[in-house]
Amino acid sequence: MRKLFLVVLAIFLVAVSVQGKVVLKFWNFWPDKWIKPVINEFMKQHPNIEVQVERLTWSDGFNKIVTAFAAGDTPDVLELGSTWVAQFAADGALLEVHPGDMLSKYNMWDPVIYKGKYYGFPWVISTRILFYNKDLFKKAGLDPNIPPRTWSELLDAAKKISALGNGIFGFGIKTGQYTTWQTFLPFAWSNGASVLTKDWKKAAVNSPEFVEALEFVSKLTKYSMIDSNLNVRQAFMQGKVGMILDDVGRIKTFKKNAPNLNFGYALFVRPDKLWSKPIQFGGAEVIVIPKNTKYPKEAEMLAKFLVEKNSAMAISSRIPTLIPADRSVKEDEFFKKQPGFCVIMKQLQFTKTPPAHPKWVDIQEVLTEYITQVYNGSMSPKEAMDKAESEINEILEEFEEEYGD
Amino acid sequence: MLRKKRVKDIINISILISPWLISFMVFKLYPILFSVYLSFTRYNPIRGRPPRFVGLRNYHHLLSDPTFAIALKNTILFVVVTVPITTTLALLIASVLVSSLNIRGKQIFQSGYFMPVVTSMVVIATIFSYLYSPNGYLTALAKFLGFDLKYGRGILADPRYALPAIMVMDIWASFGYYTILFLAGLQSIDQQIYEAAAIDGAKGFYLFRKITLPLVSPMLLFVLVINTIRSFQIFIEVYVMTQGGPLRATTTVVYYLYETGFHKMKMGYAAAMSYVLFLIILSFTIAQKLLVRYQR
Repeated sequence: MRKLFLVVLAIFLVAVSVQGKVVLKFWNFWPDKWIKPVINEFMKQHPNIEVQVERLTWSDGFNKIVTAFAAGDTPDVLELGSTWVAQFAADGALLEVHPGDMLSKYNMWDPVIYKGKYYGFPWVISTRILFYNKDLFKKAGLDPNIPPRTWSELLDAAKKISALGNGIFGFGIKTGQYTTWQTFLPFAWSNGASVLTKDWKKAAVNSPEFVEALEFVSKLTKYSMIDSNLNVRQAFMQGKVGMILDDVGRIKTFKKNAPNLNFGYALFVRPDKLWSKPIQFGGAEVIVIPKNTKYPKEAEMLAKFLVEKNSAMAISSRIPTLIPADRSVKEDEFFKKQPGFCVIMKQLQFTKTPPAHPKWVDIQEVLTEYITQVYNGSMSPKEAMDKAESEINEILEEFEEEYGD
Repeated sequence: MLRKKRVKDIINISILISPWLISFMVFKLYPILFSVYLSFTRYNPIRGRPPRFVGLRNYHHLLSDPTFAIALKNTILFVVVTVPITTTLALLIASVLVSSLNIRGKQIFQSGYFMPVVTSMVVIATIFSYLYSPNGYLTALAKFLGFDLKYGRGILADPRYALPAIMVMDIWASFGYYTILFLAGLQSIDQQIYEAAAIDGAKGFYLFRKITLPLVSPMLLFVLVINTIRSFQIFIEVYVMTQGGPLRATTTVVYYLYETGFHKMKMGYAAAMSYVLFLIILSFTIAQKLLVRYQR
């Protein structure tokens, strides 16, 4: 018993002696080998701060975060996927941050804004582009050097490629819990539609533009492989699919993992309208500061340090899919050398993120359900979106009741 | 004097089992009891407010939740289809393996059936989702057998076939475990009983029905119970392969409660769901126990 007491006392004393230093806990999803050098650099610049890094896994990291918030035992600085920020912010779990002049120097602020306030810093960002199989283009009598630019060109190419038969599909439509709407929404956005009205009080999914986009994609389904993200990508790498939409970083991994695949890449397609833009899905990893932190000032210093280009390169130099949100990356030598950087930078100008609404998890579920109904041919686009509209409106009303000002 | 020794014994025993007891109370019993309380509250874990008591509202809401009804239907269908099949298959294969039939390489079969059990379910589910993809072998087989699949779609993308497809995979992946259990049960039956019955003229299936089945019934009960519990809790397969889709065709109770608790942050509602599932499993287990006892 006395021994135990001594041990406890020793631990207590150590804890007290460390108290002199500010200790920040930082949770992220990347290997320590990548992140540690960045953290060491930060600690060198700020000798009074000690940062403890903990790595979360992609499979259950999110559950761990939720549990930590429930227990009130949160880290001081935390990495979150961009779609989660709004819910955490609305629940008052995050600290408001002050980006100041960073606003003009970084991309992708939309996901961290909630009710006009900023709740995080964009760290690394990504978007999707069109990949196409040049060999299949040749076989189908299309020019392999001219990828489709508009909806009608895409549909035409898909038709011709799927006519090759033999288990070959023209286009690949990805489906799944978060995949179905992520694949579809860019078509709607490019057509000028959006899921919610500007003030987020009502759904706008049955607008003519939205329905038109859905009509177009449901036409595409006749020439497309429809499956999970993984399977569609696999089939593209095996040369079974003519065109797919995928993360920009695939430029590199396709070359490595499918050396025989003769593929090209291009900007996303746009509607056949004057002045239309090919707007794609933009995602980000975001650095946030949980509200419980004891050192808000130091935590914000660390967060700002992490999102700087030089720190973000710790991830980006290994996974070029993820580009630093820091705009100075344009001048970066490493990225200038990356294949397709030009296309990536161009596509990054035309990105959108889903509305950072706290009830987005529920809203996307409704979207996924009715988009699937249309793909399956059990509902017409208009009918499905009318139903989706009323269901989303219900969710929005419920939210106003629960959280209203 | 005697009482003193007894008290001492009890203290000693408590100390000896304390590693298990403490971890059981902290990591199992406390969460179980706490979630009873949670199921009567409205609780958003990240909102930083304590759970708010709402009485029976969660349970009331469950009764009119169409998604929960679908999830329950899918789960029960899954149990009703897979449990009899895996149990029968396992008993059949175990009887063949233990019988005097001269099968070459019996050992290979024995360990072969067990292989999927020691393989991670995530790995199995990923492999099967390839086999079920539009270009996959099993999709080709299904098309050959006359399944009507839409252009460009695999088995898992079709709301009619997705759940049966997961059942097929689960049967393949899990019957080996029960085979091993039955093997143990069958091997413990005394050979003399069979010999005596043979002298009396019992043969073939009659022998199986009158001797083997009654003697293996304790193991049968055990297999039925754990098989049913495990099947009611099906989650990983759905999580990896379909995420409850398409159109909720593969949403099971555990998957739905995970989604509700950890994605929609309705922990109280999710806890209520878990208790409904608990009661269902409990009643099934009791019913099975009574049934087997009655037959004996």
